[in-house]
Amino acid sequence: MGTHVLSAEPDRDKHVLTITLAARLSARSELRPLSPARFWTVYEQLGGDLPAAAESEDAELRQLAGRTAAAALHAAELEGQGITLLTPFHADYPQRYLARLGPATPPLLYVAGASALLADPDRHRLAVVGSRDATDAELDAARSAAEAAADRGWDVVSGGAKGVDAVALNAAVSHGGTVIALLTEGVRRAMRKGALRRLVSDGQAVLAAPVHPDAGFTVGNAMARNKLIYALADVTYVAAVVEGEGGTWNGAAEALRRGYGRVGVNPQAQAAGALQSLGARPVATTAELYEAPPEDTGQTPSATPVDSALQTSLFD
Amino acid sequence: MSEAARASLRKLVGPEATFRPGQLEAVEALVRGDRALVVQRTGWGKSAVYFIACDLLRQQDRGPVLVLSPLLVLMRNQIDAATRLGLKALTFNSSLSKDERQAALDAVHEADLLFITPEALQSAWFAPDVLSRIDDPSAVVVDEVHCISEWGHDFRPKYRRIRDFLGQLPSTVGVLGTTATATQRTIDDIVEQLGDGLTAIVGDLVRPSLYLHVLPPREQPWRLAWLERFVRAQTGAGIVYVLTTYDAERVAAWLASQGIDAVPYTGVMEDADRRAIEDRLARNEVEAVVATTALGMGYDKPDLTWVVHYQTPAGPVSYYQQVGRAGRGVPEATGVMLQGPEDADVHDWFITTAYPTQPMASTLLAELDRADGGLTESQLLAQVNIPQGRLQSALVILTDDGVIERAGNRYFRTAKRFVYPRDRVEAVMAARRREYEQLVTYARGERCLMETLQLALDDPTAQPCGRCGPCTGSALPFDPDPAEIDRAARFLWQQVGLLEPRKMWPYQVAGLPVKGRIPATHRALQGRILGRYRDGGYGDEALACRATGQPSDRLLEGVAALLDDWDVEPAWVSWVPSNQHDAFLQRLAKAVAEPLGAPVRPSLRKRDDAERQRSMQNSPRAAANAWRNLAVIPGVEMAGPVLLLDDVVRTRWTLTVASYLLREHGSGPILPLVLCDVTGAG
Ligand SMILES: [Zn+2]
Repeated sequence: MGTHVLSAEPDRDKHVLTITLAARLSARSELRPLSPARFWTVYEQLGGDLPAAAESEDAELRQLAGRTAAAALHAAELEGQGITLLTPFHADYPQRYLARLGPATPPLLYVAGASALLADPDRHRLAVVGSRDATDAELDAARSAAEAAADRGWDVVSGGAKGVDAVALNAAVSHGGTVIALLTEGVRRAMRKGALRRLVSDGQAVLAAPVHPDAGFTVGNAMARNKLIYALADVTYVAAVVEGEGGTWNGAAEALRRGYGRVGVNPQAQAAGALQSLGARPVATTAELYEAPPEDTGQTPSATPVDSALQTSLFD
Repeated sequence: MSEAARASLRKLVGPEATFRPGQLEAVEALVRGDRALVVQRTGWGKSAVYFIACDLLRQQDRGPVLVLSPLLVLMRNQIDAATRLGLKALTFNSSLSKDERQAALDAVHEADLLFITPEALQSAWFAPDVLSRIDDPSAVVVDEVHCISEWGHDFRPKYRRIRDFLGQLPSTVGVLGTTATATQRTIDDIVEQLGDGLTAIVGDLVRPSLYLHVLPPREQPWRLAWLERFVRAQTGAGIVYVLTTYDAERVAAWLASQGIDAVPYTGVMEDADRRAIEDRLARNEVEAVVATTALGMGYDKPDLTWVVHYQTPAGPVSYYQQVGRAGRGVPEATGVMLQGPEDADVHDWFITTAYPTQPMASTLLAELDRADGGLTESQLLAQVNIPQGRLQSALVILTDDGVIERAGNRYFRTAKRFVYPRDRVEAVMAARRREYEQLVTYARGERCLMETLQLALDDPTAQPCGRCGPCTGSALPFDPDPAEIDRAARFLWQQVGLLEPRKMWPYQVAGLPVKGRIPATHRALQGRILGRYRDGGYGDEALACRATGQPSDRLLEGVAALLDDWDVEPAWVSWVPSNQHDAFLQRLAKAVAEPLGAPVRPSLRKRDDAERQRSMQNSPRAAANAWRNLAVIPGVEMAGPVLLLDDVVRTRWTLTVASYLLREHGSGPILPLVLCDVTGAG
């Protein structure tokens, strides 16, 4: 059997069962939901028949699958407040994640705002990333890149944190663009602070996170989140990066190694040279970001041998 | 499956038991995991459907059945019935004590049926505490499912979440909606909301045991006297339905004052007290329960022989449900609808305040949108000019709508878009007004009453019943004589109320230099209220006198009788100044003081440009406004207790501030006397 890439189609019962298996239903719950890798293993073992998890030999899996009523309450509450639960079996889920992330694809995303934007095949997305301690010049570079993206009608993908994230977000919004912010904390928690929610209600931002909507920031959440930024974008612009350190470096290196679209790097950044040696393009003017047409829209993934090997073992 | 269902029926009910048309169909739908709607009158056997479906599902090792029901009273009856059939049934609701809830949690893993309120379903504890202990529910029953529809006569915002919940369940979970009464429009709406492929089982509504009557509109004394005669003539216990809590208390007090064993039953009472009254009514230990709609859906006393409406109910569906409490298990029962001149106003208030107005909703959402980090109810009250009661109800409705959320004690705007549903609000209001008009037409008694009700409920089998007042041309023989009416009138004129002083200043209000507890030394004593808005007694008289500027002899007699009864000896008399009615109050003070032999002394003045207190819609605003506007007149002799008169009371803040200022300036104890309580008046 040849390798194949994960794919999913809208399916109501699978969607409901995915929420049941992958959601942390309450802060007090002792039962741990399935991690992405475990979810896809289970999915493969069941041959896609997720409701069969309720009859599994595995007691913990059985217990997780027996939470459909609790999961329905969880989903009803959030959907009632304008937070969409996306699973790969929902029409708005960005299928690009399955193609690029394989078994690291998050089975569940919480989204505030126009969730259809995440999967819209007609839209292009520029991720603007950078380490937290960026210099003023690096922040300026991030700002120009985001403004240019907004001017071209591209959506800006950002992390919603301080520093480069915030600069890129504000720049895109002030140029009439739309921002997709992939957060390290829960979307409802983030919105309670006000500023991000106002952007959501004005239709200028979509917030998404794989963690419970009330979850706080953790380092683990942040690490898992970074790849979601790169993997959603057609092009990533690294405005500030330090070699060998932090989420920006690791994320950019991973994006380059696995081929999540093109990666451009600010030549002024400390580790610009090191990233270039991994395949990043130096981008002196924002126009250069768009010079080659984006070859990767998720339809024809450029899986590396590592991916293929992994997918072969898991999904054949 | 039919054979298994019949076997289950025989096992649960008895060897001779057979299904009614529609019952088996509904059982099978539920067990298959399909969706069904049953619209059948009470007594048809709706609960048998889900008892038997539950039995079958449990035989297949499927999880328990979840029954969502809005009212505790219904649940208690259903749990008893299920237990008699050998099913293990439990309830979770807010009225359980800590021990009761723990006992239920300890037993929940064995339960076949779980009865829960929509509020409990949506509570933070339900999923982690209850659902985590049981197998996944195999079916969900939504009792009184008309509450899911805004076209239903009893729409409840909490049911909105139930609809969302049903939409998120796997397709293998069966769903059954049941209701006794729904118009075609409501049924259509429910079918749309519960989803495609729904089996609807709709029955007829005729009640052959009910003898319906109507009487023309009458003033309150006439109706009270009529009611007294009617209740005395009955052999069994019955229910008197009224529109407000105040009516319930007053009508019950009237009947009790005439030696009839009557008790009020209202939504503000403790659940345990309500349960006690239901039990007494079930055992015929009271003669009459005077109830608001809190004694509503699902209350089942098969031998109830009469229901009287003291005022016009909301519409044909409400009326049919309420009057339909009578005559379920007895061959003959009486349903009478009285009407009063106050009914239209009360309904107009209910109808127009059911949903927050557009300015109210926009103001609230704008405040919450601006706030980083949310706002508490107290902070909102201080920032918006909305009465507390309406603010609270708006917060509940907007939370159920999902446009705001509550975390801890703070409210936050959510990501959900809000467009004021003007068309929907107006359409629903118009529908409610039409329903009220339908009852006004009904009450003219120009054609068969049962048939009129059935037609209003879209029952195609409607035809003249041959039993009601219009069909038989007979009238009830309880018209009171003038002496009885006079006695009831005197009762109405003696409803003195108590006025408790406020003990706390409102929270965080601009323009109010005082905060926290009001020292006991600076509070008024407990005061008296002579009458109440639309009480058919001194309240109305006082407002009429105020309009002419002249206290009438009748009003002064009332005050004199009140003072006699109160047993206080004021050293001087004063009044709370008013820009519009000061002359009236001064005349009143003079007339009241004279027989007491006490001097009248103006002690407070009001700023001429004062904003009217009644335009202050809520407590913090009213307090700040009163503080801004009132000042003590210097040099007034204030020794000894003062009888402090005021025309109306709404928020009590004017009196609170006036008392504080007078005490601060050396006045003796304050004895407040208010002519008319206008709380809740428009
Ligand atoms: Zn008739």
